[in-house]
Amino acid sequence: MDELIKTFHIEVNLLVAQIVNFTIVLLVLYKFAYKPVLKTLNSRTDKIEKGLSDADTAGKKLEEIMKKEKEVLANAKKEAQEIIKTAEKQAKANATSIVLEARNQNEKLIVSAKKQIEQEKDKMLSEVKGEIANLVVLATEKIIGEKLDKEKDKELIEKAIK
Amino acid sequence: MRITSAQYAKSLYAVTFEKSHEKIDILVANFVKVLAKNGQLKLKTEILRKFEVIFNLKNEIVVAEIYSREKLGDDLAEKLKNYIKAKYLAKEVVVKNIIDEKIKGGVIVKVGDEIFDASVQGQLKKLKNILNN
Repeated sequence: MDELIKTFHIEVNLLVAQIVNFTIVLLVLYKFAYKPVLKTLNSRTDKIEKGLSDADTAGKKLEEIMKKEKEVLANAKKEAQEIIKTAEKQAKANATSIVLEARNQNEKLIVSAKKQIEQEKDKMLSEVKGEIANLVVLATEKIIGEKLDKEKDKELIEKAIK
Repeated sequence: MRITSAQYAKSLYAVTFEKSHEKIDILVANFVKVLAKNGQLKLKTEILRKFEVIFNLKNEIVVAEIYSREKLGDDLAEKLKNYIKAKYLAKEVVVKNIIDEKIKGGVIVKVGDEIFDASVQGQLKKLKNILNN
């Protein structure tokens, strides 16, 4: 040890003083430089880390949003297709029902018209019959009025009570 | 309770039944007095009508209204009377000949509610109905 001290010309007192000085400088530096710088660095590190984490989260969220957007779009597309299909189906059903209803209506109209024609025909026939009956009766009445004298009237009565 | 025309008619028939003409005159006079006393003189026509119905029923008399275009001759009236007598099994037939030119010939015989229509008008009506149906 002595040999080492001699070789390097180390003075113990000076070394101790230097160690004390260094310690004081180190303490001062630690207190007023290293600590604030470390605090600032830590804070920056935190901020950067937070920023990175936020960016990461934002990226993830963006991805999620994009994924959801795709899902929503796909769902919307699917729903839209279903709506179109249902509407087409409904339209077809409506068209069929309209055609059926029109056919029914048409048939009803034809039946009603036939009935009306039949009624008109019957009415006309009945009127014609009535007219003919009136004419026949009038003619018969006239002939009887001219031909039925007292004698024939008597014969008619006698025949009725026989 | 007020007495009805049917009750009066029945009573009148009962009191006059098989009585002499003189007696009937007195009874009828009394009957009219009773009607007047009861204030029911207005029922006289109805009572007489019902009395006639009762009288005819009891004596088997048939009243027939015969409608014809012209007045019936005696011969024909007699034939009709006999016809009605046989039909209704009557002892006597009272004929009321009513002239109605509208029947145009033949006769309509009405006995009570029964009508026998052998008129030209009736036959024409039947003919019209047949032609119409």
